[in-house]
Amino acid sequence: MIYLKIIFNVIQNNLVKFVVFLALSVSAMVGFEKKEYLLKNYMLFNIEKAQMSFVTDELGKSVEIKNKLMVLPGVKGVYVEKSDQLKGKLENLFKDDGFQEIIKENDLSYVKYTLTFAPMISDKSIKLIKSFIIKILPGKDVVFSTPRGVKNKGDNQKIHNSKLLIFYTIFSLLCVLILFLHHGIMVDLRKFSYLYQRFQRVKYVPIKAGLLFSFLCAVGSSVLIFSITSQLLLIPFFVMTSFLIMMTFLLNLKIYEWK
Amino acid sequence: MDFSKSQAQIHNNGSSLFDKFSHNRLNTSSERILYKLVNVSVVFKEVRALSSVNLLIEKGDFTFLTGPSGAGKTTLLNLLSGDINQTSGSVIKNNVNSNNLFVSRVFQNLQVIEDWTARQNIELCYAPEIFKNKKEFDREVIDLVNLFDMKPNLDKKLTKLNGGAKQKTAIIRALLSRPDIFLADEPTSALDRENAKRLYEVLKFYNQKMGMTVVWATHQLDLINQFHGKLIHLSKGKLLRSQ
Repeated sequence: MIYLKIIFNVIQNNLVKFVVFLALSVSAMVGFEKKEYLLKNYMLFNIEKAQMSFVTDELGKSVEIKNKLMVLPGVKGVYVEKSDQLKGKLENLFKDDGFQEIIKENDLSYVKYTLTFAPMISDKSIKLIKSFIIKILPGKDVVFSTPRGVKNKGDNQKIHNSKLLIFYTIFSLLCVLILFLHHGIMVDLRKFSYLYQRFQRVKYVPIKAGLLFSFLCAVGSSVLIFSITSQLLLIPFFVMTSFLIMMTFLLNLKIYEWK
Repeated sequence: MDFSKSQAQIHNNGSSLFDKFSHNRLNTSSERILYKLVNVSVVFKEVRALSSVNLLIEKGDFTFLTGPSGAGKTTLLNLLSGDINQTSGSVIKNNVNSNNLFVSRVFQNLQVIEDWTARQNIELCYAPEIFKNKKEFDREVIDLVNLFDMKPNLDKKLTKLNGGAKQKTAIIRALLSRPDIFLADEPTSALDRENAKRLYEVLKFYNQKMGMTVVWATHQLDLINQFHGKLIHLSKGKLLRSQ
């Protein structure tokens, strides 16, 4: 009872610190467990989207063509622009003199399709997509741009490694912050347990209260994680419990001095 | 207690008289002995806080520990409460049930939680195993609070109270833990003479009625001159003694 009283007093005195500590611990544990998902879906910064465009003189059926392209594997999106929207842009897009001349001499009508690909698309897939486009536009002029942002296997690995580096940097900073908050709470826990030990006939109060606090934190975090992810993350639970218990023993090595 | 006379006698006769006296006393061990310090020295780095101290404290003693600042009073209290260990010599807890003896302290730095009210600080020491029930504890709280005139301050935060009220809170808290040994380090430093006298009366009551052993460290010689008890005088870590 006395230990719960101490823990209650400490939480009451450090409510904000405790809530932030718990929230960060839960985030760190979930983040670590769902690392690959985070890297794939949320850490997309600094990565150029793979794109390719083509122009064709097939003016009709643009919706039909768009739909056909949309369902191709590796294609994320298709953006269609007509020549009247493009005129100015075309001059900049195709620098070839012959082509520039054609634009000036003839009032040609074109449609531009811009295809956005999935991040890990290969050169082979793009070639297949190109041949498919030529197939669905028989007898029509089709001019492809050079694909941009397409990475080979080695590049993808490099990107993955940089993402991991960023993830672990953020994760480490989070751990340092958690450690800092935990230390602040534990100092108060030491203070209260010291006082209770002084004026109550109970022995080893700081260690017992520290262990109970660590256990309750680990269980509390697991319950929160379970309510968020519907999963019991056993490894993070054991890592957190061992870390908190280790910190409790380390902090109790030194004789407490009242400040 | 004619303190000035006894102190002069100590100074005149030097430590040899004390050594002779304490030697006789140290040999007369009995079941009443709580602490027996034999040639105890405490050294912090290069500072010798206590030097060859011989001392007996018996159950039910009411002892005043006097001496100027830096004489080693707090170190001696820390030693008695088990907060520090001696560098040399031996500290013998001679009572059969010494392990069960409970020591409570009033610290010089009070060690109270300033963000809490006086009541919260006092209730921190409520131990269900020594009181029949919470009502009994509350009754004793009210008695002591009334005695020390703390009723108007009981539900105020300590940050809003003066040094005297904080000191009274620390004293009440220590008393309510119903200790076997009560160690008080300058418990009257922030109290006026009237409150100091009241503290003495309360401690004397606990001492006589409950057998609580009291060690009261102070440098206010003029104050304790009015009180009755054993007198131990420390000077530069050395112990001189008067009965």
